[in-house]
Amino acid sequence: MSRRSRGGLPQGAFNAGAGLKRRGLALGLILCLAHWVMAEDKPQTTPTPSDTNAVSALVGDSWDGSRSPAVHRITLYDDQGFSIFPGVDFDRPFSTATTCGRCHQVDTVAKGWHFSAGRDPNQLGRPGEPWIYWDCPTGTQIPLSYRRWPGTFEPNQIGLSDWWFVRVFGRQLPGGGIGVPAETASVDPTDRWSVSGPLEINCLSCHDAEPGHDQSQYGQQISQHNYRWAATATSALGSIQGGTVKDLPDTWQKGDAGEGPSVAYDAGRFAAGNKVSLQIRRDVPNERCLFCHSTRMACETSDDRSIDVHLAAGMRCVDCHRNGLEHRISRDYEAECQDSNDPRRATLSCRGCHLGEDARGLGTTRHAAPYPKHKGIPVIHFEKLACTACHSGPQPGDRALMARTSRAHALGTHKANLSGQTLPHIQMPVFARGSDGKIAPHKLLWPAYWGQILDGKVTPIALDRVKKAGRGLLAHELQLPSPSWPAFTPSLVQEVLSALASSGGIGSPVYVSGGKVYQVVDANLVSVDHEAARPYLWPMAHDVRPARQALGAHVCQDCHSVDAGIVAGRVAVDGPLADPNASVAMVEFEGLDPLFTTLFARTFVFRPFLKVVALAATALVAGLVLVFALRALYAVSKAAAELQSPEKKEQETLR
Amino acid sequence: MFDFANLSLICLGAILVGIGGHSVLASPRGKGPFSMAVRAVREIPALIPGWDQSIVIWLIRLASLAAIGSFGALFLTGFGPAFLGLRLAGYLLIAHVTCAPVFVVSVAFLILVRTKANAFVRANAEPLLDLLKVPVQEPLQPGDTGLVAKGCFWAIAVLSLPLVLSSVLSMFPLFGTAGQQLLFEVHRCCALAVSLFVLVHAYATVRHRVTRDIVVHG
Repeated sequence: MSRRSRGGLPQGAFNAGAGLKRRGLALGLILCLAHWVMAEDKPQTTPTPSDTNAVSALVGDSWDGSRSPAVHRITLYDDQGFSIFPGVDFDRPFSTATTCGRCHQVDTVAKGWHFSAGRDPNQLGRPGEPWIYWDCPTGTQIPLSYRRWPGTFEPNQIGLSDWWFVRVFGRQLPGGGIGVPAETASVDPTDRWSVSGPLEINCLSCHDAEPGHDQSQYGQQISQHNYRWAATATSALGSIQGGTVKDLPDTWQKGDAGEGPSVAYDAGRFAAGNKVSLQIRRDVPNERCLFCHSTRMACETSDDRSIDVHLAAGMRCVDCHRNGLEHRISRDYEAECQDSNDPRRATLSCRGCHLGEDARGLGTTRHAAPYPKHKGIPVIHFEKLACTACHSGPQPGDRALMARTSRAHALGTHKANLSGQTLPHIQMPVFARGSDGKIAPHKLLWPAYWGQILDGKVTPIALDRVKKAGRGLLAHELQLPSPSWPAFTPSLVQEVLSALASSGGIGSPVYVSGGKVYQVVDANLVSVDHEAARPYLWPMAHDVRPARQALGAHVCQDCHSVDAGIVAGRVAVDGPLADPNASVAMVEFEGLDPLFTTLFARTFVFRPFLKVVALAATALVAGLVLVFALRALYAVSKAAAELQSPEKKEQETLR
Repeated sequence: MFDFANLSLICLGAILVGIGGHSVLASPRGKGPFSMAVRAVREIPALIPGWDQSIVIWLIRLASLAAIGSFGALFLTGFGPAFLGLRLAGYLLIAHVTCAPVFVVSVAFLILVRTKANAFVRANAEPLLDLLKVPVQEPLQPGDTGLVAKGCFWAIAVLSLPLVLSSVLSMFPLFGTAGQQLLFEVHRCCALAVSLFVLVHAYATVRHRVTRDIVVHG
């Protein structure tokens, strides 16, 4: 970065690069190696600052106060610390961890929310969107999370090692965390870290404002096992050519037979001094966030899509979802200030920004957000409902609808399946009671997986074992007409369960689907309700609708009517073996009494009469009070006059 | 400290203790609290409307019964949760909202038909007039319920206005969050005040009747 380069970049980088170009590859290698050795001696990191205001030895870690964005005209480095020189035959992908690590403490960044899953068990927070592993032939859609949120499973429980997790979901991972194998971690024999390389933190995933940034390339490269090349492929600086790691043997090394991936840098992007200009922005562009955090209704088309009112007003995601150097990005739910033990977060929630108060009603200050009038809304609504209940997501209808999210359906990648019925099946909006006890709109997933029950607890079975036991019973992927649920029958499930039981090592196999746990008892398939079959829900906050489109903005009957979607809407029970007509009412997720909600809704039919009668009665009483008050005044006046009368009579007598 | 539940308990307790103390200390001999309670219970059947009476009296008695019943229901559903530190919600809220219009209509009707009887006369203000050296001129009529009962009647009439308006206006899109909170506070404070005046009015009325019985029957 030119404005800070004197303090940030090694002084030798420029000269070494120019010299290399002129004098040849050998000299360059020597100089580069020498520089690397010197750079190794130089301390790269300092103790972790507690926040961005802390003083750091690295120039990019602390804000100097300038509101002008820093210009990043920098040298690129590979993961070994060698400078990148375009057009040289051993081109290697540049490493963002190494390149950015020259000026920013990547070790500290690695503790951030996007990278800490699986590495920092203390960063949990409110349950959020899980990673959803789905497999059509086995009738599986199962919520996964390294954060151990209730209702989710750890990936290794279904046989997904860290490497394979990256292989499946890396398309929307920003790298780091489980993408970089820990030295002490046990390695699955099928892992291919040695050839794929790690999936390092890719700063460009979020901070690159280049119009040519192609995040879909990230998933492409990861699907080819080219983890090390993924970040370079997304940038506009070069493209990946040659072979793929997927086609190479596990023990492949440079020089072995077979062609590995290579990088063709755009030489035109490299200016004098072998530096490239990157459009790096601290305030992450919305497009970068939305690549992994988009949601669309399955029935929604591009011409009727809506936009969050905040984005429409010109705000950016990072105006609310903020972070310091640690990259602990705020999620902005009301209780986050307690969960994170950071009172500043209270100012970032809906309440904090728009009402200027935190969950305890204490004053906060943040943007000059419009103060909501909420005219005619009794205050009990704010105790029972989250802000999102009335303001976020699509308007509730008589049924929750299928939705698709970036992370669940690989939206924005070349692998996105446009079929409306493709797994996983996510429904929204589902109004349910959240962890704070308030009713809020959620997304919902009915888990479906093969597992075993032990001491009343259901745990999933690795999919490989299911496929092995169900070979010949379960359909092949290519035999399925669409990437949706397979046509399971009770007898088929019973056969697979029996096959699993006889495969050894599995005590009591079960199949979880549609809110039930299926088990073979006395040679019969029986279904029971079980905690493990309960749907997984996570709250949704976007898209926020304008105030005029909020529930209750016009009439109370938006919610208080017998057919209001927020209470009377139905959520289809989904999964193989599930009754296609089965559904659950929203009130059950809300923890409300259906009879009460119906009765209360009925009272609103009589509310206009109540208003008229009460106002008429009030007018009558007010009139009577006024009349008798005037009479009382008159009586007082009359009494005073009578008091004067005897005196007058006496005076007249005297005259 | 003095949240609404504590305030309500203290006020109601003070009024009940005051009524009890007054009925013990200031009642005619042999007409103490027990006698007054019996007298009050004996009044209830007389409130049941019969078909042999004029339609106006029938309506007055019906309204009286409705007012007493709805007041009891509103008091229990309104103050019950408050005493327990809870917010009025659920089925109690439905019961409260259902009883409210009955109370409003019956009380308005009773105020309409009882205003004349509860209008103050000079004799009601005798101590004040004596102090001002103003002649009373006319004696207190036998049917006059007295200063306290009349004062409570008019206090109830006046306080019923903010009591009802605070609940009705909250149903219109007129007041924002702060206004809604204010209306809620006004509603429950007026409800407390009306409840206290109703208790005193009832005591004063029963006491008046007991006293009148002594005058008439000896």
